[in-house]
Amino acid sequence: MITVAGLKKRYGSTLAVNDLSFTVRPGHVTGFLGPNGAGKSTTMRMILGLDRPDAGSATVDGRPYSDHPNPARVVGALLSAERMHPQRTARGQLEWIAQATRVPDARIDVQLEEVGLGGVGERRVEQLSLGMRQRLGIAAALMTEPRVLILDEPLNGLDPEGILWLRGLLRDFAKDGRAVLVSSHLMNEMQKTADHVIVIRKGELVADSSLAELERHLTTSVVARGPDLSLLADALHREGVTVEVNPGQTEIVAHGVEARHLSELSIRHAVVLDSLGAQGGSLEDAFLALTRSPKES
Amino acid sequence: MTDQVDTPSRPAPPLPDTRRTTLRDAVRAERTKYGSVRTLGRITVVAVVLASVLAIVFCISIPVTRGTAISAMKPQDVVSAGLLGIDVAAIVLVVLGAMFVGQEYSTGAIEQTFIITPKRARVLVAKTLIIGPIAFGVGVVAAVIGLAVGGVVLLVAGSDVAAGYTAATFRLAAGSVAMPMVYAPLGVFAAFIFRSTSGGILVPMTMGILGGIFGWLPASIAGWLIPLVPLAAVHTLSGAAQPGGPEDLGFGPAIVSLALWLVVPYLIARWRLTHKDA
Repeated sequence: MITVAGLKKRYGSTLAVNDLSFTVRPGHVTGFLGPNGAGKSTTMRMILGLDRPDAGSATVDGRPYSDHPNPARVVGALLSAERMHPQRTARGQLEWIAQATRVPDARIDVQLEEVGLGGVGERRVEQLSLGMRQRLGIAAALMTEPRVLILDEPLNGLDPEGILWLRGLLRDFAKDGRAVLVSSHLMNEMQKTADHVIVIRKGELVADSSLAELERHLTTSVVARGPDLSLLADALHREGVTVEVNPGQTEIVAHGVEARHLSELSIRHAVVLDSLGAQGGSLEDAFLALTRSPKES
Repeated sequence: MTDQVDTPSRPAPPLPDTRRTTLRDAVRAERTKYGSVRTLGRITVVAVVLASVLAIVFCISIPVTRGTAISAMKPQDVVSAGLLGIDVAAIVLVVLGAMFVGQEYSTGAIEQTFIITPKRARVLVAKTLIIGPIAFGVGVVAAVIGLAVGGVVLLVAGSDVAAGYTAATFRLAAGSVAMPMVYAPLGVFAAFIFRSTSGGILVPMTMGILGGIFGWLPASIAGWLIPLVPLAAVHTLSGAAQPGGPEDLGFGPAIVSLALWLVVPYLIARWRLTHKDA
């Protein structure tokens, strides 16, 4: 289990992470979402002891990552598949990890096979495609059979087959009672993979919820169409409702309100509507709604 | 928006290996890293080859550089010329030490190194324990080659070969091996301090060059500065220092000087690694 409590990190004048607290529980695939620069990677780096928090703590199974006797056998991590020595072979990459963590060398071949790189073990990293490097990075994270998996954007470069494979792998990993923290910007994919999501914006927690709960909150988006919805949009803005308006002002999407309320407003302001309906929520909608700054609404 | 999710009752995963990893594990991993990057192996071979080639060049070019026929030279000086190959090997080994660390920073691979071995000082020691023995091995091989080349050149020139191998010659050979043994680890420490190959190369090279530059300064200043650079200690150990000159530190102070040139950069690198973000 990963426990993040009051984590804070500042780089110069930039506050990367601010008073962030959450828990990643065993048995779940936890999606870690946020726009670019939200602080996801910084948080992961602090969990793994690469960066020091200015305040707060990050522990894995009750103690800081580096305090475990053999830390890499507790947490398997992939922060970037690009950060491998290009001249080292795929096998060589796993070999040094095996030796540093006391994993039997016999596991190298098993792991290469498991990630679909059985035939390219002697190929150098620079000769591998991005997808293959991603698989190799995942193999490196799984080499030690850890209880916790931390993956930063692992879907990058994977083809559809690879995405399906990773989805199954993460689910099986969690089914074994292990914990997974995975960040991605592919919201639809996360919707199919994660069962819990943590959303951060500007280093602060925006949501920590089961996916089902998050989606339930989202079905309150309403789409209205009509010849001129400017008055309706203004009314919604005045109520503080997040509204997206198309350039012709003929369509609006209002978040966090019910269709009945929009209907009442349109009658009150004499706005003609062609159609009005609730919009099905997606994780992407949730993400956009949660991470949009107030100025954008 | 937060909610609590109960942990489902699922089979517990296997307990992780709770045996504490040691420096030995880190050294094994670093040895594998060294062996699995072809460039590093090639640089090691280049160090030996260049030391050999330049030992030959330094010996056979004596008539040009000294204006004297080899047969007219003291045999000891001919063999000593062959030992200059060790200096060349030391320069290449500095590059090796710096690259062994610097490449991890330039490729970003250092991140995974520190995830796998979060005790970063252990990585520093492990890398030093790989480069140190390699520097020693290459230094010894370069010394043996230098001695052999000197003997062959003496033989070809019709000089007394045995006269070339005096106690002073062997001391020069043994003392000169100290140069790669100090400079290559210094390259490792500097690369960690500056997080780059170029930083790792620049520091030992500057230390090497400073000895020469200080020699140009007025004697009163040079007398203070020259003993401070590691080259003075190496020259003391090898007997190359002029007796009574600023490089002549004495055996004990020379050992202390070289130890300090290793310990102080090591401590700076260690502090940098353990007190700063990776």
